Amino acid sequence: MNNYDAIVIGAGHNGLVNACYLARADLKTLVLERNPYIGGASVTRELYPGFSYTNCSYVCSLFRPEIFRQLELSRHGLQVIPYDGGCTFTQDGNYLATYNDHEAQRREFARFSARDAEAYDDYATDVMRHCRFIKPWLLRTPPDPVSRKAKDIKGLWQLYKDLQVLTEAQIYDTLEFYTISCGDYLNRYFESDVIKGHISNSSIIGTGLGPYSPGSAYVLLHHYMGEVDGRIGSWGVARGGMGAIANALASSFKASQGEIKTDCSVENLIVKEGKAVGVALENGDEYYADTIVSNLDVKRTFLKVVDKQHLPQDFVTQVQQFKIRGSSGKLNIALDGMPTFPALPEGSTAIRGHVNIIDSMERLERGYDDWKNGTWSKDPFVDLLIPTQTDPTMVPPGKQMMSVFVQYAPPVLNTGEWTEEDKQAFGQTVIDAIAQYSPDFKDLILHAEIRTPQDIENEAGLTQGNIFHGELTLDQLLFNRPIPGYAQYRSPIPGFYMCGSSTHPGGGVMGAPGANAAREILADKRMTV
Amino acid sequence: MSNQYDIIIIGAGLNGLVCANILAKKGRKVLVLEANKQVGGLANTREFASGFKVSAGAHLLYGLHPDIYRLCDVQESKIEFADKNISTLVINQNKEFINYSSGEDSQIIYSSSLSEQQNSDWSNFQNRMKTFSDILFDLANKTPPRLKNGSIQDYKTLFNTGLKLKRLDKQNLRQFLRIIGMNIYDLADESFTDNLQKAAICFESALGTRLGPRAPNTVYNWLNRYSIINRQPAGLSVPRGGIGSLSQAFANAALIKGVDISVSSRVEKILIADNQVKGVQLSGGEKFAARQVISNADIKKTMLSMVGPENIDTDVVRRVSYIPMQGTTAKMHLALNQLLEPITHNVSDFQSRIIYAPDADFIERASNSIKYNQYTHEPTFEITFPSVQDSSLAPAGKHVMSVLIPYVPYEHKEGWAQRKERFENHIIEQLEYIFPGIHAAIEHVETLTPADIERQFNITGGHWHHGEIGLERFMMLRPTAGFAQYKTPIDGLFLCGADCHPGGDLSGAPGMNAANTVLQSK
Ligand SMILES: Cc1cc2nc3c(=O)[nH]c(=O)nc-3n(C[C@H](O)[C@H](O)[C@H](O)COP(=O)(O)OP(=O)(O)OC[C@H]3O[C@@H](n4cnc5c(N)ncnc54)[C@H](O)[C@@H]3O)c2cc1C
Ligand SMILES: Cc1cc2nc3c(=O)[nH]c(=O)nc-3n(C[C@H](O)[C@H](O)[C@H](O)COP(=O)(O)OP(=O)(O)OC[C@H]3O[C@@H](n4cnc5c(N)ncnc54)[C@H](O)[C@@H]3O)c2cc1C
Repeated sequence: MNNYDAIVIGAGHNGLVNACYLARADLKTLVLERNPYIGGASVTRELYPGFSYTNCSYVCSLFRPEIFRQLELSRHGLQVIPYDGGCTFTQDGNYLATYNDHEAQRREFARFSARDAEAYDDYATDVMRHCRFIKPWLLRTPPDPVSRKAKDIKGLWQLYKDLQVLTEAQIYDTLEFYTISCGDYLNRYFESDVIKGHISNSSIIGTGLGPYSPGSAYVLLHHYMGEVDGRIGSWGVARGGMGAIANALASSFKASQGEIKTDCSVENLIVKEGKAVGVALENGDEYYADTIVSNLDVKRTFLKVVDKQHLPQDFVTQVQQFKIRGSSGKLNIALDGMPTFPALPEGSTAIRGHVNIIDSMERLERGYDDWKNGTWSKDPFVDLLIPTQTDPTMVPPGKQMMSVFVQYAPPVLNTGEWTEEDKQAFGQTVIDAIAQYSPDFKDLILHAEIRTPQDIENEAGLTQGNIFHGELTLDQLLFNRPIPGYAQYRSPIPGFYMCGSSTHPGGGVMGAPGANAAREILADKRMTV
Repeated sequence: MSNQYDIIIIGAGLNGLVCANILAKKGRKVLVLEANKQVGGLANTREFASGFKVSAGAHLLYGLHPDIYRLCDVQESKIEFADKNISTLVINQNKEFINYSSGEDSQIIYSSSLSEQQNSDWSNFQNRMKTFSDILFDLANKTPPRLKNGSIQDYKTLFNTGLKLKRLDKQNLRQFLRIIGMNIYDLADESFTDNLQKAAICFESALGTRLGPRAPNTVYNWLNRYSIINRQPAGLSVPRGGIGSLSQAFANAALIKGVDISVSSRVEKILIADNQVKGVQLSGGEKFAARQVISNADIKKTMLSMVGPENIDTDVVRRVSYIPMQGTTAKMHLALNQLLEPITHNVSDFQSRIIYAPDADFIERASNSIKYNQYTHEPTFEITFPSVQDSSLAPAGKHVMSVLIPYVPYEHKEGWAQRKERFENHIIEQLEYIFPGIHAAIEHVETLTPADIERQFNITGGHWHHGEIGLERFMMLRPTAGFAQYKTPIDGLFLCGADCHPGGDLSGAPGMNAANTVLQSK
């Protein structure tokens, strides 16, 4: 009854992707999810009557098209709707709009600086080159630099070859790009504070870095890596919210005879004779399989679910040292109607996309200083999106839902744990900040869900509320992710694997960790995807 | 003095002097032209108040590359040291302290409250890091290899580095590849439980840069500096007569080899025809001819002013002008009419290099304001009392205090003209907390903001390393891609200053590597 070929702990999108591939290889696969709903941080929830909140992640762009096709997600109901628009409001009442179309964007930049408009061509070309460099690596297993195995040497050789197709100058640019600060990088191209502020807004999402921190430039790629309808760099919303991705994955999984059980919190990994053989739930139930995969972040996996005695001491220390400071919060707001933004001209489509209110790198950096100091940004970065303009099915007719991603917010305050008062004050800071650009916004609020990093940890199970299951700095990337020597989805315990965002290539609703882990698991079983 | 040379070196900083020595030894006819009245650049001693002398730029010697003495025929034994193996005393506002030695086998000497475990944490950390810093040390005397289109030499360097990495045991290689991209704050946090120990490591990493300890890539800075410090048998030291005596020794060695050194000779233009160097022209109009010119001045001064944008591709002009070179460190020299109250009730305090840095977060906070072109109100300090070791620097019974203040902007938001006096007063006020009574003991103060350092030492921005340093600007990325082999796009023009690999501090390594490059080029 309780015996399976494979068990996946956690029904986050990576757990589901992983389970889909295992089930497609005819393994009898069970997914166990702690919450009463699936999706993890890729979820849609009705928290106010009639309103569906896409209450963690809110836009789809990183999801690998290969996985989308292979798992037939279209057929299973997933629809990603691209949208145009977006803007940054400036403090002097102006705005800088975002366009998917390169020419339109260039003309928009020219309103702020003719020189920058020209530099934008170079900038876009260079960033796209960096995107193309990294993209094939998303669905590859990181090679182990100390190994002498053929596949690892091949992997390192591939890295070398990828570099060698570039010109000498481009090689140096690439090395620099992955280590330099966003500030230094943008200074090379642009002079306008507003333009630099606008672009740098995507260099800090989910990080514990400011735009002046070395290593923040490459985070810009997150913004440009998106792929909707094969168009590099554009974003889309999933019809029905991000939960639609989880639902389509679940449907695909079930079509391959997979089984999902919710309200099943895994408490313990059962290890016999050094091998993973099953899991024990909080309620005492046990399930058995010789392949167990964890979708949880590396800290939850090895410090909570696995008993220390089964792990090398050195490994445990390194898991303890894994950096997973959260920096983001979220507000999900039910609105009685569409708020107005007087800075925008009548009929502007800018409001359909991401709306930012930080118009310089300095303001962004000061927000980061607050976070380092153990408090939320008093002049917060917000990435505001009203997806119901594109997908009205999520709310009652005439109403809107606003998703507000906020930085920076620390997992613990310098005064201690977040209290209810702190949380309300945090929410108010954000609401006030938005209201500066929309006078009728406050009056339209029907309900607001405020989520601190602590809430994100408590509800979605992301340790410290880190949206990427671990910081994305060089020491935690590629063969270092999550732990040097364990970057190929295997753990120190035979039969026990990792498939969550703590593994390469990291967080975001991308599906790549889940797919890569499945490939390694099946390789161990001498099977292929 | 004839006006025809094999090689002209612009600038008599330590790197220029090292370079001159090595080239002259190989029979080249070398002329060194220095804008200032004295040789040494930032390695110089001068009087700042009647009867009081100070090392006006660098004030401690800890980084001379071990090959330098031999290559330059400077006998270390002939340099008289006022003190060697100077220890470092790190203190906080509660007068807690640790005191550690630098150089080979750094150890905690004494402390207010460290446990035995914490004492050995220190030594363990140094031992662990030595393995990693040795890799950087091996690179310090190499020309950074080109990663494509390279020469056999470039591939040899790459291959040997790869080999060295492969020779590490697996565990160490994994750790190296992890920590090299980390920030020093987290590494210190992983390695120590004591706040002062963490602060010491963070302070040493950040010195001379604008980066706070939480900035990624700062472990590289620490390792890079440490790689040379732990090769110093003398640890931290100061020559008698201040750092200027060191420069003087290298200048004398050059003179003996027949090098001509001309001070008060500011080069205004590098003369070029058909992209080939022909010589230089001084601000007074005088010309000197040579087919090879090596600049110890920073890359911006060299390329954008002496060569001039009209002689280089716009792309290269852009690349050079974006190198961040705003200085980050101010210096204050105080003439005191008496010695101050010791901090740890131990007079030997003043023989130490004193670091005021209560904890790593304090340093991080201090780094915040420079990002917005302001100075911090809660600064950290590095302080020495050179006259305690070397009484020749001050009148009898009186003393000199030399203070480094990290995270001070090159341009103040409101302009230094408006702000300098307030800055000076603020710093003295802060020093008063650490050394009660200092106010009353001050006879004279000299404050050098990075802008003053720029003016006095002819360095763009007045930057410690002639430009920011970190993993994002190391090896082939230093000072910027295309210039990393000490060569420039102009035939016969080379660079040899601190903006080149492996960077600043009194190491002489850029000068040494540049000389080797010049010797190898046709
Ligand atoms: C506020 C926020 C906004 C974001 N915005 C975006 C965005 O716009 N675009 C984007 O691409 N990415 C975004 N992200 C990031 C992205 O959502 C995550 O990186 C990604 O969803 C993580 O997926 P995962 O499958 O690896 O892990 P998770 O989604 O965290 O899944 C882990 C699952 O394991 C379950 N679990 C935990 N413990 C147990 C247990 N003991 N037993 C059983 N189950 C357990 C959890 O309940 C959860 O379902 C955002 C994240 C957050 C928090
Ligand atoms: C405040 C401060 C404190 C420091 N403290 C220490 C320390 O304690 N220990 C340590 O090891 N390092 C220290 N450093 C760093 C160290 O001093 C420098 O990295 C190092 O001295 C640089 O040497 P250099 O030869 O490359 O350049 P420089 O010493 O800058 O020499 C360049 C020379 O070129 C000359 N020049 C420039 N333009 C022209 C021109 N047009 N014509 C002719 N000549 C020209 C200049 O006058 C100068 O003499 C400190 C730096 C600063 C700023």
